[in-house]
Amino acid sequence: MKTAWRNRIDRQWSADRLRRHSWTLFRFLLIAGLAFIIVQPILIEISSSFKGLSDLYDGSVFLFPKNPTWKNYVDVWKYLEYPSRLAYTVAYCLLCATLQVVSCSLVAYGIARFNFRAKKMILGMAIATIVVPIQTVLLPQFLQFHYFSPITMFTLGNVLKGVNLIGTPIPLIILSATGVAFKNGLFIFMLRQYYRNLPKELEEVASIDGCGFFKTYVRIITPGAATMMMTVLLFAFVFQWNDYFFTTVLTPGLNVFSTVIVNIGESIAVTQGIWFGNMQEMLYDSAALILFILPLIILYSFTQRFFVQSIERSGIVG
Amino acid sequence: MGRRRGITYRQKRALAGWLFSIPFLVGFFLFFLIPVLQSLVMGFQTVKASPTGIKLTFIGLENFKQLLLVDPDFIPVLVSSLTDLAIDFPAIILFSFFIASLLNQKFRGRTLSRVIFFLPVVISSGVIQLIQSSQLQAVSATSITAEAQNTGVVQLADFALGLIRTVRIDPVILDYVQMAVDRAYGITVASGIQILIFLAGLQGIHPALFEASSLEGATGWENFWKITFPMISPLILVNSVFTIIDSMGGLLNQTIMRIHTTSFIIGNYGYASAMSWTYFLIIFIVLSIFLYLTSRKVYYEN
Repeated sequence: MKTAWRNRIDRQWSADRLRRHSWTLFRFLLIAGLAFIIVQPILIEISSSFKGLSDLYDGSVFLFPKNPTWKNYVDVWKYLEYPSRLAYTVAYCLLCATLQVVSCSLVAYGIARFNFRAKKMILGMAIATIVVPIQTVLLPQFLQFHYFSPITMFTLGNVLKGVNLIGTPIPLIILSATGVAFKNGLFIFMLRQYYRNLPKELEEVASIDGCGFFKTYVRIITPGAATMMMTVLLFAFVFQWNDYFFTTVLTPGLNVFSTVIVNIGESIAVTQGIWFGNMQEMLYDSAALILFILPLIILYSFTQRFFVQSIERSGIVG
Repeated sequence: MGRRRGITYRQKRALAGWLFSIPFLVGFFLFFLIPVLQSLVMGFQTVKASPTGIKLTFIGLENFKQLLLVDPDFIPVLVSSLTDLAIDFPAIILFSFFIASLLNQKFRGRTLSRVIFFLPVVISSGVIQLIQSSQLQAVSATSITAEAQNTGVVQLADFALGLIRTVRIDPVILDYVQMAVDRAYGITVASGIQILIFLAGLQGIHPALFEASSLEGATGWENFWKITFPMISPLILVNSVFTIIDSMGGLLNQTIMRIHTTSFIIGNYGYASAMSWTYFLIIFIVLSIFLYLTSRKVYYEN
């Protein structure tokens, strides 16, 4: 009698355990498989960045080149003048990202904490800037900055010639400082959600102590929002780094990566007197891609918690 | 009472709200609203760029007629953008919700998994997609079969689907799943932010809700439909809108690239403006229909 009970319990218990373990195994396989799908293209790029032409045409070589070479990296490094371009790109992206954080955070704070009639409309305007496809505004913006003057902004460059700012960092700096650069509507939305959930007492206490609105914002709100701002700063930095349309249209020839990185293999091949259709171009592309994303990966490995916790912190959910 | 005479504290706060918004308002009017309107104006003109400036000639609806009735490429490209959206959209929402539920469970390596699933937001946005897709084209052009996108995992999944096919399930659903699996890379890469949003939402559900319902004898299935799903439904809406905007405005979107080429490489500005406005209206219609259909079904806690 007793053993029969025990057997039954044992069986039930082990069935339960079996189910749990098989779920764990399934979950592991699934996550590992998907993680592999995400990482695999990078692995392939790394592999082909070390290949020579002989490895490329060798069908037996898949991930590990038989004659690994630094040639691709050396040529790309030289063509990019990597160290100086890296320094310029970091400085440029950091400047733009900082300006975007400041301008977005100002308007987000304004519409989150002050009650005035247009605040909903301003939020709608911020969202409109991300809904309208970028191509719709890019061409007139190009003309505005090509013939830049207070009047030609409205006249498509027809009346006055103005100053040509295309190719200088100024257009993106202006757009960043006014909160209409790449994906800034999203940042405004995130920051607004964050500010909205702060306790009211913060400002009340400050106001009783005779602290003005702007002073309250700078001295009390901003230090408390430092992590949230850091998160937005990182997003802005990465988006600016990866930006293609604004950079190639408004700032062609600027000493940043994204102006030259697309089809870089072809450009290098041309400087070497090799013409179109050479597979070497593809190997250059891979090496350039690795050099391009390496700083981002290093940045991400130190700051991943800001990205991963960003949405929770912003309280989009709440 | 305010320091200045005649202004109440309330009015002062309203004024402060305006002042904080000034930088953005300036940017919005000068570098967004005016360009949008100018682009509309240019859609009705031929635009000639010359060393002396821009020359506009009014041609009425000619650009739009050309676009919709004559151009052999625009409508197919547009249709393929919309088809891509129709295929990817349900897959991205379901996939990101599923992954968020997985990542919400407790297991070893959870942090690492989250880091990897969010990696595409950092490195597969923008320019990088463009380089990879151009490399893919180069690969297929020279017909060297580097296993670039169709990884072993995808092939395995295809194989499994082939097995399932022998069992009777609605072929429409299976066709869809097969299509989605073949685009697994694109879907996984496009799901980063959506996973985060769902994850945050799942973590925001109070555990007491589940405890109470389990005490009453609810099963996991009932818990999901009666608690998790309603609590998360506003986020499904947020994620859907985000996915639609992201997919329609992304770098790999063929329509976007076509407008870009027409305007900045070919230099046909008027025509490109007409294109971009048509495209904008279509996005707007898609979003409005979607919001109209779904917004009433969403449950809000407060």
